[in-house]
Amino acid sequence: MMLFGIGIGVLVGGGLLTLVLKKSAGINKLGMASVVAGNVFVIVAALLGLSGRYAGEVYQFFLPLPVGAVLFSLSPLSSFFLLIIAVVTGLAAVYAPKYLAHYGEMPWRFKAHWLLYNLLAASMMLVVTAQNAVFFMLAWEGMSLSSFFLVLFQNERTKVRRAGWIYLVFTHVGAACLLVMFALLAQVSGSFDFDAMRAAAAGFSPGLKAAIFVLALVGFGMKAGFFPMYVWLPEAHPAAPSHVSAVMSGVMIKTAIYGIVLTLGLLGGGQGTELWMGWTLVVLGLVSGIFGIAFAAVQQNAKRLLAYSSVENIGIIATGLGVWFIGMASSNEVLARLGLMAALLHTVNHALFKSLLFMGAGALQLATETLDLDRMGGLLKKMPRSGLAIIAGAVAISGLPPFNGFVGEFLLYSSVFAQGFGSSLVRAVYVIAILGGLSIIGALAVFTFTKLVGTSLLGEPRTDHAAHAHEVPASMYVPMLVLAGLCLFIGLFPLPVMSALKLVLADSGLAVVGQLPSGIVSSLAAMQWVAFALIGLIGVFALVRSRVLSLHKVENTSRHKVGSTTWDCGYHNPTPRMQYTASSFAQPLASFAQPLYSPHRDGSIGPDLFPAPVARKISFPDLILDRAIKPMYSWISRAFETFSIIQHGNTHWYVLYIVIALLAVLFWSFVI
Amino acid sequence: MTSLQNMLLIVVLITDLTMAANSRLGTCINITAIQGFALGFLPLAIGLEKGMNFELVAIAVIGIALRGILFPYILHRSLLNSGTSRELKPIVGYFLSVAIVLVLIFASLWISIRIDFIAPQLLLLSTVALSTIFAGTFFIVGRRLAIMQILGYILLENGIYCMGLAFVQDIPMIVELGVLFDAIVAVFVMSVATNKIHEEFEHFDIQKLDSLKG
Repeated sequence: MMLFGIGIGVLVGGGLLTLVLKKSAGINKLGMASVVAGNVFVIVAALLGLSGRYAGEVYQFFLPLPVGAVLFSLSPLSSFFLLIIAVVTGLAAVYAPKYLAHYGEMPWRFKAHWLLYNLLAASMMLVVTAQNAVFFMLAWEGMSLSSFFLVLFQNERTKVRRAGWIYLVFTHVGAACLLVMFALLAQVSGSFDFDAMRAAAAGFSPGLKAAIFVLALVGFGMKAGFFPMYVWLPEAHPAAPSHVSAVMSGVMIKTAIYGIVLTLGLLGGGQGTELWMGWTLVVLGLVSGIFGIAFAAVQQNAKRLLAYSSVENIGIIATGLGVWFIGMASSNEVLARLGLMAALLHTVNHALFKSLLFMGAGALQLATETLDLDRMGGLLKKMPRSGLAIIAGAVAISGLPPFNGFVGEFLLYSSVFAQGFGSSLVRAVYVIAILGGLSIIGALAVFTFTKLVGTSLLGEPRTDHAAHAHEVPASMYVPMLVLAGLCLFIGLFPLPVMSALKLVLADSGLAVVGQLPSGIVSSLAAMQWVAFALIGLIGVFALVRSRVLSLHKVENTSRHKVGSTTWDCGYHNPTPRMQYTASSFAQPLASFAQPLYSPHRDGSIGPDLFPAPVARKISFPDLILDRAIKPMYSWISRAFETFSIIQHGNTHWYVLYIVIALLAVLFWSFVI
Repeated sequence: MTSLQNMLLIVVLITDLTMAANSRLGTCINITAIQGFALGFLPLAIGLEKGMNFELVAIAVIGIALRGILFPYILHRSLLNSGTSRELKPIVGYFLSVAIVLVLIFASLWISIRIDFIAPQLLLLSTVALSTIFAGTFFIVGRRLAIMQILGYILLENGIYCMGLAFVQDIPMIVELGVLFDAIVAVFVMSVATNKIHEEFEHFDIQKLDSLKG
């Protein structure tokens, strides 16, 4: 516990200390060092907490709050999230200095950045450990505000400011819901402490439970990015610096997942859930997953693509949570255990590979000065190490073995398969719907990340920038390779990870205990061997390939040499501009699902007799922001425009309005 | 109510009506001065009936000094600065204005009868109070020039003062001073604003000040 306190202290102190330095390089180094040092303490504390050492203990910090006290605990569940936060924010901090350096020498902005970055890390850690609603909301708001200012790093750009505002609005609507939720809970239980709320949960009426669940879903959903509320993600992530996007997408939105898990505890665990809550989460999760990945598939901006893919992954996590809720409500212990385990495992996985991919996008951006996939190409040869990490991340996020994404999704599939939610026909339809949804998500994910890797790393460079790209500094690709290594580790050794997750499940607030079904354990063990075999196979193929190529070389000396490029479309000597682009890769999908995307096309390819230069741009307006929220707002503003006839500009009329209103009230009070 | 008090109240009513019929700004200021004197003497008349005390005398003196002398003086000064002497094109014509003020007086009577916590012998006082308030707001709405708006505001304040008398009989000094202080500040601010408007635009027809609308 002391360790955790020291860690937070180092983070905050280090952030403040950067303010006194003058040179950009020093600021960046100190900022990075403070995050790494603080996080080492936190990681040790989290590992101890995960082992159950602090279970059931609640600590109080001497600082008094207006309502309640600063209470926190390092339960296994909190420690689990703490560990993810500390690892990812630490690695992103290592990545940050060289990335920030390309913005030039701007000491004040870097000072603000590091202070806010450290505060963001610290407030996320406090969110997942808080045991008092007031303290929780304080940390939550600290997290929202610091990340808002981090998004505004390049605040001189209009687009960045716009993205920042969208994020701020969404996050505060969510926070408002959470305030109402905690106020309701406090009113019923008489205290803002989570323990008191848990104790009072048995007496909650079904209506109150429903209200709390819906408020939590909307409030936390705004932050997590569930389907209709994800709007800020594709706006804010591309606008923020890459390591900030990595932290926000990798771990910050996971605090909302923690929030939902926490809410179930506050509702009284298994007795508090109802079946419809689970189904709501499952449906919401699947819809988020399908829409998220479908929109990711057609994006041309690498970070926008990754942001939509976060919506998809949050959807998968929500589906897992939904299965857990269903299992709890129908007292199906095994289903509950598998669902929660799948959700938590996918939370770790997504934190690892999504932050890896955002850092990768940042590396590509640094090398080519663009995020547009259509302007990249052939980068694997220029930047082999970051390229390797990005490929690993892409394979992992697509849910393919031997990486961790596969293990997480396998667990979710098998939870649905193994239990089947009973045996009636209606249930069978549900099961098929869940499995179908997950398969669509999986297939589109493979499509999306094939596109990402294929158009940015493979092929020929499409622009001069891409042609002259070179590898990023080691401090940037090493964190990415570490993340890729962690992804591979979970993929290769799922059983140790499962036993660590079992510690989390034993958390008193969750009340999910017991063993995994033996079938699943044995298939996980088998998977481990399959993964090793796969890697061995890849190694063998690589060996054979190099042997064959070297043999070929000898023969080539005698005959004339035949060379060809990737994506040559069957042409003998194509120019790089004839390659498949990211847009053309997504074109079949876009035209197949035209009603979903309603793409916006600028310029046309006319049927002229002689070819002339043409420009064509295609963009995909967001389903919710551009096609629901914006039209709604413009309708509202037009509706209120009609009231402007009252605003006459003439003082006499204004006074007359007041007089008429006063007289009306006066006469009304005497007539009635 | 003694006949002296009634007489003062009737003077107030008559001043309301003459304000409505008059186009000369200077005369209108003088009319409010007369109204100020009448209202200033009202506490003394009450004192004659119920026994004089220091508070009533003080209220009367302060009231007469401000309403009867200081406000008219300030307004005459700003009128002199502006060089305007008449309101030529009021929004509501003079004949109609008199008719409207008469209607307002009857409406006030109608309301006063229905206010059940006012003693019947104070009916005239509350009627005068309400009709002065209404007349004041009517002048704010129905006249163009800024000076007339100020006069309307002064009438409004006078009406509120009367209303206070009608509700609580003997106004505590502090309340009366509060109302008067309000009026002083308002009149000062408004005269200054009027002068500034005049300097800036060479007129103080506030109907032309509509460029701030959104």
